[in-house]
Amino acid sequence: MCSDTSTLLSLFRLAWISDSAFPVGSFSFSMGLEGAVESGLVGDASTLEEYVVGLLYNAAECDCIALIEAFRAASNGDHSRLVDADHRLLSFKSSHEARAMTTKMGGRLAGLLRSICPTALTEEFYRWGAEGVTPTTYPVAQAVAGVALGVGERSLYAAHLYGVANTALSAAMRLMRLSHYTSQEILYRLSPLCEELYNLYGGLSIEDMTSFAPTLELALSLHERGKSRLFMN
Amino acid sequence: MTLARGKYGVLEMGFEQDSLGRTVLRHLHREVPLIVQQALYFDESLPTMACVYILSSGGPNLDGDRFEVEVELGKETMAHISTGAATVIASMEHDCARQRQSITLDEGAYLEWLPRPMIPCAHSRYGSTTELIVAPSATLIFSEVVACGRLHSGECFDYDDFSPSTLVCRPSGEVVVRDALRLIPSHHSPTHWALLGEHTHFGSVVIISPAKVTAQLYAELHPEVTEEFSLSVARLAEDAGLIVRLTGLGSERILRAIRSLCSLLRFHTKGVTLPREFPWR
Repeated sequence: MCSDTSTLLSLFRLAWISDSAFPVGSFSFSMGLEGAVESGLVGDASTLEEYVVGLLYNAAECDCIALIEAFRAASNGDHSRLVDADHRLLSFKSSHEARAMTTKMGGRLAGLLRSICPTALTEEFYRWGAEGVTPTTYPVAQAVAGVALGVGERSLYAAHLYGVANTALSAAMRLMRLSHYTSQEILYRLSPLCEELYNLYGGLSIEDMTSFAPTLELALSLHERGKSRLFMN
Repeated sequence: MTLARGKYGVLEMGFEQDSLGRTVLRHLHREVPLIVQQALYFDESLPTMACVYILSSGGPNLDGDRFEVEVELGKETMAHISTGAATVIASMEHDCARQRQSITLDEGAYLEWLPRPMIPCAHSRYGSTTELIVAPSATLIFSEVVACGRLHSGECFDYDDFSPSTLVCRPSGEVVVRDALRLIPSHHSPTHWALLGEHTHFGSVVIISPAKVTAQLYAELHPEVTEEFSLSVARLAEDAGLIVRLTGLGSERILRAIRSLCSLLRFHTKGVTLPREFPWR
């Protein structure tokens, strides 16, 4: 655990890259929700909320551990550790949709960073991705962005979890009968989970990453075979 | 490490093909409580395949147990490995039980690893690391089935920690996939909707096979979801294999599904299906 050194400028920029309008393509993915809705696993606000809770735990036990590891590695200029975290995270993504989502979004974020805020780190990270040295998963690209923009670890952690919840809830708006009011209520209700998850899993090492969520995996599997195609898989 | 006899179980098995094309258990080293007596040849559809049951003379895995299992399958060998009965992880007071497994398949080797379920009792703590090193032309099905506890004694997710992890890689060291879980019910209940929901048992199956076989299997396997059972299939990058996750209200349906899966894999790799399960299993 570490203290947060974010400044107003860095928080402004964190809000910028975390906004759903930031063009990394998160709107193209439903994180399996399309399959879950089509099959009836998720059918109302209550099951949707459970789905998002599951996504947040899953992120905390896997992606967020890589995010912290990569953030600390990039902060210390330890590039080999950064690349290791990237590869390790991808090796936990057994489904095609999960691999596609994290590498497509990560690749776009790396490209945007290199163009908009070029630093030695963002240039190198983009080049490693283009040369196939590193897979540029989204959490690791976010960690690079965090270091380049001067964002603190805890703020970046919160931004990642917010992105997970917001992507799923935005997809839900297009997939099921759900009012904006209800989706924002869910987001507000789940916000304290961020602190709880950081306290539970934020101190784990890269060796402790896990990826076990059978119902979410089932939703991804159903999505790959389903007929509905509003979102990529 | 110095451990009392019976606390540090060791099992080493090395399989080779003999001049008649039969797979033989050429190397066997065991230290109690792990026991393997000999390879048997009871599979009617693959009579040259070595069939081995791993037993434990100590009964359940106990507090402080450390087991090391190393299995090597030589070129073109075939083996079917299971356990004699369910593996119970006993309640623990001070420490935990750990197991390290390393399974290596050389070119063209074929392994069915289908143990009986694991049953973690109340206040048990168990961790395992499994390394599967699979040559590109080899085929492996590796399964684990886990119960919520001794359900008939009223135990349901009362264990402290159940944390197995699996790493699959090529002989070159290239990582194919990692699969790990850490079930600590006091942190995150396995009964959460996104994990097992109302189901009490789960199974994880890793299948690694050449791309053509993986693609055929994937085309024939479909996700299932009912109130009593669910099955999901994930296709690994470059068709290196599949990860199949199963959940259910008991182990029987899951074990049956895993046998069907194994039968399908055997059909696509060896041209024959699994014989009927023995009635006493």
